[in-house]
Amino acid sequence: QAGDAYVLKFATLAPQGSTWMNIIDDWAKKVEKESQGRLRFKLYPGGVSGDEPDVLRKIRFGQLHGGAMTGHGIGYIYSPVRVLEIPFLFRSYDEVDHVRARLMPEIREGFRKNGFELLGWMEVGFIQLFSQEPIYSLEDMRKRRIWLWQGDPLGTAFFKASDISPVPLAITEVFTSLSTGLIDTTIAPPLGAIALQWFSKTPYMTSIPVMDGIGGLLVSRKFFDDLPQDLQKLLRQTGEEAGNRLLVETRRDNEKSLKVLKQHGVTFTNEWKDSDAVLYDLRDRAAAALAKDGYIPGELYARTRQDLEEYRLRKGKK
Amino acid sequence: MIEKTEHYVRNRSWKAKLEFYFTRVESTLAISGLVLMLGLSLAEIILRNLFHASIPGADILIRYLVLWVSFIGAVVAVRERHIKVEIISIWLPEIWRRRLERPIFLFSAVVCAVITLAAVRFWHQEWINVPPGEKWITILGIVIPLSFFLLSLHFALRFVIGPRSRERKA
Amino acid sequence: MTIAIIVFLVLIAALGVPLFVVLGAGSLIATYAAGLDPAVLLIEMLRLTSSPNLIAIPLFTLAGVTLARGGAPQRLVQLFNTGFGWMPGGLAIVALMSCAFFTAFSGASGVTILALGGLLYPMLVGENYSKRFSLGLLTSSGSLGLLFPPSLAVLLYGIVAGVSIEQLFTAGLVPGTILLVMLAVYATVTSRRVGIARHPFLFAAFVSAAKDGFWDILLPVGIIAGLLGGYLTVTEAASCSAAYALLLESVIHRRLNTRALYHEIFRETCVLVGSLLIILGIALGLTNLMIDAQLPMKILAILEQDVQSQLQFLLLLNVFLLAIGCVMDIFSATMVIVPLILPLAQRFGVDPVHLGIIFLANLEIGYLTPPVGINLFLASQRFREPMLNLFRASLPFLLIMLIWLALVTYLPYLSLWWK
Ligand code: NA
Ligand code: NA
Repeated sequence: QAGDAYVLKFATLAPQGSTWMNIIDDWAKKVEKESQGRLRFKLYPGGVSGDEPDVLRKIRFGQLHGGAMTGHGIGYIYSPVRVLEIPFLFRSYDEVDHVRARLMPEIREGFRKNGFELLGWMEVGFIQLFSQEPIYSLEDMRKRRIWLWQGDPLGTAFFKASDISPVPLAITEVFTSLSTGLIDTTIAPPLGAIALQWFSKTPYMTSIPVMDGIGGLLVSRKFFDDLPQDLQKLLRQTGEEAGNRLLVETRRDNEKSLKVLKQHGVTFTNEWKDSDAVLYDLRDRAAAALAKDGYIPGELYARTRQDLEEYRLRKGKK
Repeated sequence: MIEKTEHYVRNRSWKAKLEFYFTRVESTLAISGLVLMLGLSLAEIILRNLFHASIPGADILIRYLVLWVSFIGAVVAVRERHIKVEIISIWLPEIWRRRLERPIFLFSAVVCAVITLAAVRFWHQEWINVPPGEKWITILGIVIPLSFFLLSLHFALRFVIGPRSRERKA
Repeated sequence: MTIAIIVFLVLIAALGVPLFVVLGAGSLIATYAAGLDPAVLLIEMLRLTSSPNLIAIPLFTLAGVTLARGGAPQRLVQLFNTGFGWMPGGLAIVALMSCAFFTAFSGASGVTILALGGLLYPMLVGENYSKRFSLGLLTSSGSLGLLFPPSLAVLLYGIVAGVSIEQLFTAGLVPGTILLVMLAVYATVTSRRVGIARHPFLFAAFVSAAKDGFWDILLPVGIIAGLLGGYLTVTEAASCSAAYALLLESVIHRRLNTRALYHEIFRETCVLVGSLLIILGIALGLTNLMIDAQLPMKILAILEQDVQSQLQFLLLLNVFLLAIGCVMDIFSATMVIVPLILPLAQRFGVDPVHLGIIFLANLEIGYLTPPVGINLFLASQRFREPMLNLFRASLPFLLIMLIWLALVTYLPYLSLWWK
């Protein structure tokens, strides 16, 4: 970087004009203004820089410096964070917020050790099953042809534990495959099901969320450590603000999306036949498999569970 | 469209033999890849539709096989025909076209060699950074540096061997 | 300096340096100039493996090569001659129709020329159509049918632009059909002018030819039924076609009777696919560099300054997209350009569905325009003809497509009548 001017090349899958991208745009403008042009953003939205693993490769070779990543990409940097994405773990955003707050210092450190600075935390939101036939139980799920995000260890572990053989596909092939019948069930946050138009092929949505999708605003340490102290501070502080805004807006948009889905005649299935114990057993087996592969340490999972139990007890008492 | 691959007057120099045997190994590799790709994709269809099952990792293997088949195929194509624009050269007399061959092969060899160096570094970084469960995928990806290495080797050999003898019409 | 480099690259390409080497040299120079690591080119190359429809390319090619070697063209010539020979331009129309169907079904990846070109070319020439007309027809038909379901290009646009995919398919029906009709009329007129013989219809001859060609015809019928009925995906259709073609030629027609023949077929497929995909891989790297330099964004910023009316906008949009079509393939262009033109189009009151049809129509033409014209590459490889000859041969067809583009652009009703 010549002189005192720094350019942060930042990529995301979020499309231009989406709520997410607008917030990131605002963030970029704010940083540029407050640094008096010493730190500028070059944004690559809408997946023009490729899928998240591609963005990570470009960061490695210095073509890009950062990006807004979902759990899929984060898994390649510091997979233990995805303990927050373990299926059937959380029931509400309160629980998510509480547990994550306790883990935050550890998460930050984990990213740092793996060459990234976490600027802000965001979220994809609770992920639901969208299907062409109603699903009331695991038994129903086993009869369906369910999409698996290709190359995702977390999804693989979950389906293996539940004895479901999924259909692994890239995200771009999901819509066609729903039309052709290669798959008849997919998972997405309500916001995503609308953005990708999957809901038009799936008349049913299960109300109980499968998992909470995470996300983060990340920048490589190669870039971050080079910045002068004041710019580092500015980036961290504004990044955190942007992350908080993203978190709030995503939750609101997901809420709105539920109404849109209902208007379009999607039926929400509330009743779930399996007992909680069955789902918890499934959750624990998936977690055990992930621990065995070294993807998410067993100890971290145990600690997360304990935090959650304590929180639930405390909340129950109130 | 039934055309025989071009015929060459037999060149018995060791360089030509080396090229010949290399190409034979490579085309066997590419052909095996194609056969495997076809077999696997058919097996996947049958398993999925009749037994609701699938071979773990088969789809990824198939996609990398596409890379193997096509990139090794591109190496084989050096000896046959690559896609060219040749707007000027089709107007040139035969003798000039033959004179141009060596410089073109040398240039191609150099470009491929530079890409090979980049590809080796790229592959090495992949190997270091890949999660343990995906090491096998990175091994499949070795076709990229390998094929560019072979491409530069073949162009270099062609440069040494020189222009082809006149084609015999079949 | 930049101009000197471009002139140098064009010159060495014209002198006969393989295209992938020219593009590779250009990419290396461009990475160096941008201060980037040349390893970033390989990232894009590896991205080839994340495209789920990629596998359709070698397998459809294999099917095409197998059928061509197994004598399917001769059997089909016979069948079409006896069946449609009485119609003026009958065979050319059949060729157009089959290409359009095939393109729609094979995801517009350029597979059409590989799979059908080798089959249709001898048929057309055998019917006394001129070499030039036949090459032009087949080269330009390689992207015909891009707008028909289940075209991957339409799906991708819908997802990137956030437009209903069903609406896009509905909108594409009339424009797609108009192009087919325009080309069919041209073919009929040409065949009349050069006096292609029309055969009287003989039922006995037709039945005999139908018996011979029955199994060949079953393939496209089976694929279309399988895809429309939802039994097959594009990639499954590709593997089934390859397997079926091999089975057909070895068991039913017994034309593949030596090991050497199998070896030839598989080897030819590998070389065909290889010489194509290596260019695609490197072109992806070059596209990445353009994105990195935010080049498309900059061109659009200039465009934005001088435009006042919708008509002006549409005119400039077409010029811009045609230029993009010259240097980019349809899938990268969709990912990069659509998010940029969408807000502009909305500002000038262009319906996003209509915009999609204009966009795809432009890039359909882009398949035919050098230097990056996938159809020209494929046809050059398939028919062993220099690209310049093919471009010349496709010119009349290109002209018709440009007229069609104007119709589609300036008569939104053609796309939006159902709204
Ligand atoms: Na073009
Ligand atoms: Na193009």
